[in-house]
Amino acid sequence: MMALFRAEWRKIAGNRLLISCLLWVWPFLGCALTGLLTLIFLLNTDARANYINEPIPWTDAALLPWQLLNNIFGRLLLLAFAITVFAGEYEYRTWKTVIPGNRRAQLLLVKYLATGGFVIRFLAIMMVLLLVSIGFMNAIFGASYPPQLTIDSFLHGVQDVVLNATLTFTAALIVTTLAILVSMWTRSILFGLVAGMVISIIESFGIPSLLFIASELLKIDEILDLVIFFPTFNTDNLSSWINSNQPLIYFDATPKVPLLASVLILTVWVVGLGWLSMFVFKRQDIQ
Amino acid sequence: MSDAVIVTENLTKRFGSRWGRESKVAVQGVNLQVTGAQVYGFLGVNGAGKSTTIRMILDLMHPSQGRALVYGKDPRRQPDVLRRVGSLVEGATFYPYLSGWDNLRVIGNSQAQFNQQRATELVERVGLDKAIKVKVRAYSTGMKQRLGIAAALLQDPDLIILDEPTSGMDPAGIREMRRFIRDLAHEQGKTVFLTSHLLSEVQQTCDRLAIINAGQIIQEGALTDLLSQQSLYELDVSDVERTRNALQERWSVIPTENDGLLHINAPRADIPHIIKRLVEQGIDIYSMAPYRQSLEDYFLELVGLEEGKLS
Repeated sequence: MMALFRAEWRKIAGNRLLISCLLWVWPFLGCALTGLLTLIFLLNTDARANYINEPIPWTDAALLPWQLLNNIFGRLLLLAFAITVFAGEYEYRTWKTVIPGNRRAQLLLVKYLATGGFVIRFLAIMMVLLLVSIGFMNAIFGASYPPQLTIDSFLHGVQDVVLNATLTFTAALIVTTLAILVSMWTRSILFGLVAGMVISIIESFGIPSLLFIASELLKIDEILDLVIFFPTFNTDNLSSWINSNQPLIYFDATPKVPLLASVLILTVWVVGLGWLSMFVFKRQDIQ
Repeated sequence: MSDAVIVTENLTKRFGSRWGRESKVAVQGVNLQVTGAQVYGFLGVNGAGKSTTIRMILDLMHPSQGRALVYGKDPRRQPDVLRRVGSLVEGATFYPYLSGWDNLRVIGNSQAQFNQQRATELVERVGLDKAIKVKVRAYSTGMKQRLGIAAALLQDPDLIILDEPTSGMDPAGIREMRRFIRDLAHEQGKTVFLTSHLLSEVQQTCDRLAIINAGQIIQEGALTDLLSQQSLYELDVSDVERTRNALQERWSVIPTENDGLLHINAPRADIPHIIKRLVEQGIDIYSMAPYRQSLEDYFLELVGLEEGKLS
């Protein structure tokens, strides 16, 4: 299993174009954000004064990368990465070399872990770069870097990061599984990307809109409540619980979903999609 | 049989049978038995079902009916048995953004554990030592085939399945590969199961072969037995058309590309009768001699195709 994981890791790491475009983009964005803020504060004294009064806390800087996958832009980048990794095996016709002698479920599991591992690794790099660069920026402008570093504040910060990272990993798993299913169906990176993005955008925006239209047309408000069963709503809801300690309000009439219910719904999605991808992959003929 | 390396039992594959589509039978009731330490050839024209059969043996495709056993085990239930198998299926394919060496590392680790020393030896053996650090996207087809053969042998497998192994290689490379494949079976005791469209290569490499046509095995046996099964004679006559008319009622007459030459399939005891009949018809006979059939002739005759239609 370890050798298989090493093989998978090397495959992904060796695809420099993929890593540069879809993973290094995160740390780059982190640095670019700090660079942009520094430039603004250098050019505008009012903005600088405001910032010094209310600087970015290191706890927020640490959380920023983990909240990226909770928006559509972050999800699409991750989806593109995962689809390239999975559909690449079909496009390069390399499954036929890798599958004989291995259990397909094991191959899929290793792909999940390696893909997830790469995403977490680059978000962690982004977190470190943000923490350091924002700290550096604050030092340049003479701003403090709150909250003061104590054991309590450190543990609290770590707890927030772990919770957000777990949520990110869950969202990543769902997107990755979606990518696997799309890749199995299209067997092409390009078609996989297009289909994956369409599905992801529909899931994020299309389903709430469709539910809204259906509820207006049929004059049944309860139709809107169905949105609570979809992954995006539940990852957003969990994020809201973790970071604001309150449920997400999607539509005014949508029920407030408790934290545990969202955990349960997301677990069902992760397990269900994971099982489906294993089932399809096990039965699939490899050309 | 206890020493059988590959056994297929009524192996069948149908495509497109779902959602009301008419199904296409790619492989129909194939029964094979491949024993150890030999080179076993698997011949057939394009679309005959060779690669589909190999894919079912390697658990890349699921049989619609029947099963394939490798070393007595069904790879669908016990995929570990395929760790004893090295394969190169329908053209060598790799991760184009990795070097040849990194591809071997990835494949080695995917199969079991990458053995650097063995990989180095194999790279030298297939003549890729100078290009092994180059990215595979820059490789020619022949280089990819060589790398594919090295990859198939990485884990020192007992059974090696090679689908068109010399495809894209130059004549010197083909000769080298032929020697290499024979050594694997006869010096190292490996079993090699190979397909090739180069029938003369198969004739020089294989000990035993099966011929598949339209998804069905139409002939199977030791190469020498198959080629000596038919007693063919080459006849040089003054009038080919009249000779055919005179003989084809009783014997099988096969035209050749050369003017005045015919092949006749007949037992040795019939030769005096053939000559007598031709003399009675006033046809001049310049020579009549036993004809040693090549595998290509045999194959073409068997599948009823003309030369040039082979894959």
